[in-house]
Amino acid sequence: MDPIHGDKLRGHLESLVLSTLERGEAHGLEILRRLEENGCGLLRLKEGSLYPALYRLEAAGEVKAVWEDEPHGRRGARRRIYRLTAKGHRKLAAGRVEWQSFARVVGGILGAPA
Amino acid sequence: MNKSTLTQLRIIVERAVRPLQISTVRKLRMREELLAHLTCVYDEEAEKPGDEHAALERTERRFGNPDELTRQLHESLPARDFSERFMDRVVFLSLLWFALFWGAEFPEFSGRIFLEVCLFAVGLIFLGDLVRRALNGPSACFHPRALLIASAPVLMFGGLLYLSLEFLFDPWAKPREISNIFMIMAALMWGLVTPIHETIAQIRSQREWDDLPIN
Repeated sequence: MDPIHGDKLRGHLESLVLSTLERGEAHGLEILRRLEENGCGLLRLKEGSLYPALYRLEAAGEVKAVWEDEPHGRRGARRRIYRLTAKGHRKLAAGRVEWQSFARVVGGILGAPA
Repeated sequence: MNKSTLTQLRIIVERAVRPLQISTVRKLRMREELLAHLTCVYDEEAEKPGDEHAALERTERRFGNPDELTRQLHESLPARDFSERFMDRVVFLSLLWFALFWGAEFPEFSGRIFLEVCLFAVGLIFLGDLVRRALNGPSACFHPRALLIASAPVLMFGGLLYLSLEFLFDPWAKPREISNIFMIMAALMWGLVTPIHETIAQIRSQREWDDLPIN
């Protein structure tokens, strides 16, 4: 199976990120690891692209971020730990419904029902 | 990781972040977070076979195209960033205001007055910072922050409006207490929303980032 690149994830990245945070709070790299793990290694995302998505989610109040207390083994820079908010949970549920409907419609057109 | 590698990682971050027209605090937050990410990625890549240069190249490739990232970061900015950028400048405007108008009232002591006024304004800002921290408490949850951010420009505008009306109707009027009160309140608001102790560290950090050669 061919890898799925970032441009094909357009419009879905936020929901995917919310879904990884459902498993518990995480920093950016951990979110990417979870995405890779759940995507069976087929998701190919430019790692920098994750952060604009996280900032959009934060601005929308769907995730909340706090700085970690200490920079572990790195020189000075701290990571931010993201967690889902109640609004984020609702958005994720809505995202799932939207995806199912999208997959059903497109699958029907392509003759490959989901 | 040596210092030169860390500088290279900072340059990768800076290529994406420097072109953004955003508030200083937001820019520094982005830089720190992206640098933390890149240092972790570099550590992973450095464990693979190959030299330091190859690890840096792989790190850069994983991070993505800086121009594309700049565009994406710009699109992710919340609308309130505009007011935050304004807040960056409020303190300097307040200081200038005090210096110009109080100094003008006592021209014979303008140097001393300028110094006193600056100290007074800085004191106010620190007082605001103390109140902000007390209100934040350990839960770090301060909902009226947005209201405070919005109120400082309104107060600044009120002060300017009062002063222009005063000039229109009586250009030689000396007392400007009311417009000064607006400015004092604007400085206090700025102190309430801006963590001073962090800001001082950020100003130092900002200079380091700005000196990086990104081209």
